[in-house]
Amino acid sequence: MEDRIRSLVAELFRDAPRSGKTLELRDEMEQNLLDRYNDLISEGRSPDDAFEEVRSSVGDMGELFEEIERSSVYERRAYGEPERTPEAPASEPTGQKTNQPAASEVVGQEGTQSPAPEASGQKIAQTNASEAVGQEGTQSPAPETVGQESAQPAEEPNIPKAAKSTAETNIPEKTQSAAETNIPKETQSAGEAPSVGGSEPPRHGEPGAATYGAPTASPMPDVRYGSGAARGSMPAKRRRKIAGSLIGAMWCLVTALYFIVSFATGAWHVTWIMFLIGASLSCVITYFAGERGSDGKRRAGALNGAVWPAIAALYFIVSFQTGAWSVTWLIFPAGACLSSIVGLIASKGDPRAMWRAINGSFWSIVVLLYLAVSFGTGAWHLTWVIFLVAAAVANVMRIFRGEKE
Amino acid sequence: MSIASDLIRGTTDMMILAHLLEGDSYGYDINKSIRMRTGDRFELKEATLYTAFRRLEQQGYISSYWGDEGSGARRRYYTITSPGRKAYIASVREWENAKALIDSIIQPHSNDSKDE
Repeated sequence: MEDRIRSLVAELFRDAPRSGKTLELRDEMEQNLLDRYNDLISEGRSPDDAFEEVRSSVGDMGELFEEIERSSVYERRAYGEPERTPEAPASEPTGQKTNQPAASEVVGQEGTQSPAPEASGQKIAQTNASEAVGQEGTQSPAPETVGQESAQPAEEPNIPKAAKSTAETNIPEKTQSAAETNIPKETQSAGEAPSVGGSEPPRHGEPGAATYGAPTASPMPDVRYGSGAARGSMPAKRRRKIAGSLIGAMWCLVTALYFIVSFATGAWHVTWIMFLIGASLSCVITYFAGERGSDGKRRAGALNGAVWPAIAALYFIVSFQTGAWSVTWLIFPAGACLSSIVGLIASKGDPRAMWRAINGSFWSIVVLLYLAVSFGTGAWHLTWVIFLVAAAVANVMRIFRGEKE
Repeated sequence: MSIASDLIRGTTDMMILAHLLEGDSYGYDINKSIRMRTGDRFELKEATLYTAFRRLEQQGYISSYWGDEGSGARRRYYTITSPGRKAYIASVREWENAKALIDSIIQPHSNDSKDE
């Protein structure tokens, strides 16, 4: 008969917001309903009669769930709950369904990295690579990377996938080592010249750049890249390896910490945020691993990679702390602004990159402006005009951009 | 009847605090005592009770802990805090004032009876 009470409670909590508080409430309520039921039975009531009375004593669960969503402070209790798997709270943070896509995207990205800590370094590098490629789009990256005396791991992510796969998969090792030893200096110098002509400012501390002669040979991108990669591959590989082990070690620590803290506090609904912070950290490691000789695009890629998980983590931490889910999503447009500021700094005066950085956060700024003005003045019936004005500004900006190009 | 329940709704917090003044207690026990005091005429709905617990806890008027009965039952106990005691005294005073105020308004022939 007690099972009947348990299934009644399960039914009552079917639409409840998922959180540690709800689970606690459920246990509390189940025990109290069982007490009531047992009391009624001991008074001589029939099981069906007692169950009906228990059922009718529940009242309106809606107001209770509202109160739970409203209450802000999440208490941590040493309180084991077998149902609390890390996945359940992670996939459904309390309420606010509108914010979930952004969150689950980040979590999804993160999820692919965590199971294989060793590979995560590489994966992040590739993610950044595709970001960087996306940012730079039309620029041909080959001239920039070719002929680097000390090729960095930093160089690789900036090469479009096609070129990269060619370099990585098509050139056999023998050819690479042959390139390293046999290709005469003239051929190497052929690769050097285009990098000077590239949009990026010449990199400081590029050893031997000045000693190379003028370009003489006709460009053969794949071979040239292959030689370049082969020549610098030893330090690059080593640094990447170190970064990879660092990231691997960090993920192991994060996972261990996650389980320790979660079991200790029982706050499974909050602790998964550690993985977001881990994702951010691993991007920071990638950033520092390729620091020497790396260029702006890579820095922007790595920093942006670090910014978003950090923003998502901030969002969840602040939301859980304050319970103000209705306001905290503003962290995301604010984050978009921040990330474009990072992009702006990393662009180092390159007008295309600057344009892209501003353009990326334009609408976020507009939304923030709209909300700020609306909350400030209360004139919601007027402030929506900001969006029309913004649309006009966006079009004018496009005209100017057209003129520039 | 609906007036009664509306009136009582506003005093839920006070009822719970009053019960906790006598010692730590848990949901069903509090409700049972309310029912017994009122001679089975009144008890709180479960949802109302827990909503009040959450509200009071957030306001810092009560705190809670899990008791271990040993019989497998895990009950959540509530304790009144010192701000809770102050709040209780204040709300009882408020209630007395309101009761006196409303009494003076709704007594139908109070003026007549004075004249008599």
